[in-house]
Amino acid sequence: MKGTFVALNLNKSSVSQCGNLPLNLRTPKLVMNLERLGSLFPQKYSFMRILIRNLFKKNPNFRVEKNKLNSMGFGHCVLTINLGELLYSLVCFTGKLAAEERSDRVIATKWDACFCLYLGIPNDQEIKKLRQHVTKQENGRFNNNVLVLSRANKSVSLFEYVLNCLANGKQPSKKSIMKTSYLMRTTAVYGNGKFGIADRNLILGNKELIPPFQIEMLTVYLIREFSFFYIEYLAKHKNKKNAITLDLNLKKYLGIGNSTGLGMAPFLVNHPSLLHSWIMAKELILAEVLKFKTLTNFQFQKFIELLTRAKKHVNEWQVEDKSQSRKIKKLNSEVNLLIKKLTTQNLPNIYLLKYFFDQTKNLSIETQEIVASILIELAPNKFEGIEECLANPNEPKLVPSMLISELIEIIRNDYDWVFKLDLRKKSSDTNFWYISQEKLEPRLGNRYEEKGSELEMPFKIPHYVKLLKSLLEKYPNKNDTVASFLLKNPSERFIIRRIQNNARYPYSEIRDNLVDKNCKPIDMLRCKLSFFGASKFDPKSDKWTRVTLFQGAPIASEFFSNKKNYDDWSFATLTN
Amino acid sequence: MVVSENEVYQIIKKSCISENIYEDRAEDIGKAISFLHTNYINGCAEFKQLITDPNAKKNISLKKEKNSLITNNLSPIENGIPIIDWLLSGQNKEARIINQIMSPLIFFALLAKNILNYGGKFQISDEKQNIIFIIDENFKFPKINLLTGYFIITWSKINLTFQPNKTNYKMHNVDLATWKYLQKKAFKTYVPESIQSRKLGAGAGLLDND
Repeated sequence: MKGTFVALNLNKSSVSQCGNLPLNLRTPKLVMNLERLGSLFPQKYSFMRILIRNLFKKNPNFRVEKNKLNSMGFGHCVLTINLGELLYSLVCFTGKLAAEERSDRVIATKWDACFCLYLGIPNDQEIKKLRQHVTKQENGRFNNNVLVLSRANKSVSLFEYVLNCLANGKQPSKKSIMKTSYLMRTTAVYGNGKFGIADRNLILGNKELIPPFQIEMLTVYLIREFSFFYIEYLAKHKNKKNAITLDLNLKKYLGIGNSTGLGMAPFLVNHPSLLHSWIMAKELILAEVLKFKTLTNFQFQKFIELLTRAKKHVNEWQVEDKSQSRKIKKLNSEVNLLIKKLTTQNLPNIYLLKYFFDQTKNLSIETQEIVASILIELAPNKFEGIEECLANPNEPKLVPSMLISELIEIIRNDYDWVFKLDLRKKSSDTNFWYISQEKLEPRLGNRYEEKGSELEMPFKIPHYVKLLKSLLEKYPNKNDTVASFLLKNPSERFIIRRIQNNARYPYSEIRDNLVDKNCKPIDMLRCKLSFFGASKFDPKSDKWTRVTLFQGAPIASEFFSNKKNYDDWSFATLTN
Repeated sequence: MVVSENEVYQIIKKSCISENIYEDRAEDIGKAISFLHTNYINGCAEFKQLITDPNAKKNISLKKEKNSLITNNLSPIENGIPIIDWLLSGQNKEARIINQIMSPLIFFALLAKNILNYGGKFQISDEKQNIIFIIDENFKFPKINLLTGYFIITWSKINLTFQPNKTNYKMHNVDLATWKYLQKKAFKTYVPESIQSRKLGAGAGLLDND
């Protein structure tokens, strides 16, 4: 089965040809709108989960290779880990950060700690050279031994508090841990060739790194380990006699914080085939699980356990954002209702999961999606091979031989949503996406109030589709090929290629107007972050969010203990 | 200067956009230049030479006659991609170049990248139908700066027998002067941040009280 999925690449026609496309697959029409994409939860095939599974498969042999931190915690240290056949080092540089220099923003220039993930173990001379560049982050220059670049700040509210508790021989309160849930937060994680570091192609020799973002996830995981090592090291130096280590359960509950802004959003638009593979895989697995005719007692108990855990997780999810708070409140009450139904009602003997999922149809989208994530936890082992399919290397390519009439038909069928939007209104193109000069990061501007819209990124998809359709309809010979049409209309090649790609990869297009005044980029962020495996989405505006990464994940010391349930860390809670 | 494949792709794509080349073509040219570097050719320098040639950016007319496209000059950044699309759109199509193929290495790279995606092979022949170049999966880039004369280009489809999008990985060497030139070009596609945009970015508007 594994090989079959790899070969499939999750493309609509090839799945159909193999007879594997379930009839109950949720359609792109239902799934690919921003409201739903902005309500997704992490699931079993999120990238962090894949990483942890792969780390557990072989002995990852995690260790602190070098520790050159002084008693104040400044200096450097090297943490190493094996993934598959290769050894990787997180090289960490720490320094003093004045209060006025502390910033969550990507535009900051100094941090509590700077990191790079290095292939192999750097010697002292290499570390000296790395220090000069890694501490400058974007202003440094790297070679292809460096795989990822990142930095992090301490959580102001939690780090010092936990440090003092540990130094004084006490465990921090659950309440404080629950409120913040990370000791450090990263403000950027760079991979794939940025600033001269290794391209993704270079790391693919290690098959464990084929699923998307594995090397970045590995880095963040090691930064989490660093945060534990660091705080315990500092506590010991603060009070050698009384200092204790952090309780294992508290440690596991702590993840790594991350502030994510607009920089992440364009990725989904610029990598349509990849987006398709992520969504298609999720929907394919969900559809297969919903086809279960009967459940074993173990499966049924697991399902209830996960629902109950999800309920606790939602209870512990505290945000200031009013809109998200309302959603969480609703989610909470609806999950309670579902648990009640499951435990008190007469349930059908067959197709229980489908029956149960059908019960969510009239509930909020967040509830539907949290249940979808829970159901995916029950996926059979045959889906293991799908992990490699999540990396879709097939970029959109033009089909120049397609007839104009065929293209018009595709637009009518797959882009019908475009023609339901009122694109004549000024608000339909108020926003424009651009790359900022200052940080070379994507930003969102108001076309009617700010300069620079002539340099916008090509995200006006519905507008382009509408224009193309009118040009195609006016084109005299509908039996002509796309290549002929393009000789007279060269500007349309971009959108034609995109539309043709969507015909092959139907989950590749976000079915919303991304330049509309009311578009919420945060929905795109949550979609991507859920596939990363992030939880506790904490929106700070429509354009950026805080999240926690690896919350509940096993800590590295557990790799030695042969735990059987190493993959069972979804919906982390502290109230067990 | 050693740069990554992604850096080459990004800087060429943005340089193209700054030259008002369409986004999709910019992407294709970015990949082609990156492919040249993979084949030990300084594609960035080739590209710089091409965009500084005023003739390469002139609107070059393409005349369609039944199954043929005819042009005086072929420029990879101007009419090279429509010609390739035309050739790929069906059997028995051909392109006739009357005077010159500008920056032939970049054009060959575009052809070779398309072979990786579509399979088959391109043939470039002279006026007397003598085959001069075959661009297929085993194509080796020749040392060539100029290609003048009359050329006929065709594509023949054969089944794709190899893994698409799979190339050998290498870091790329670019001379510093070229890189700085391209950085300047790419910079023109970035927008200065406004006070308003700063207020909206990640981390904006908060004291670090988490």
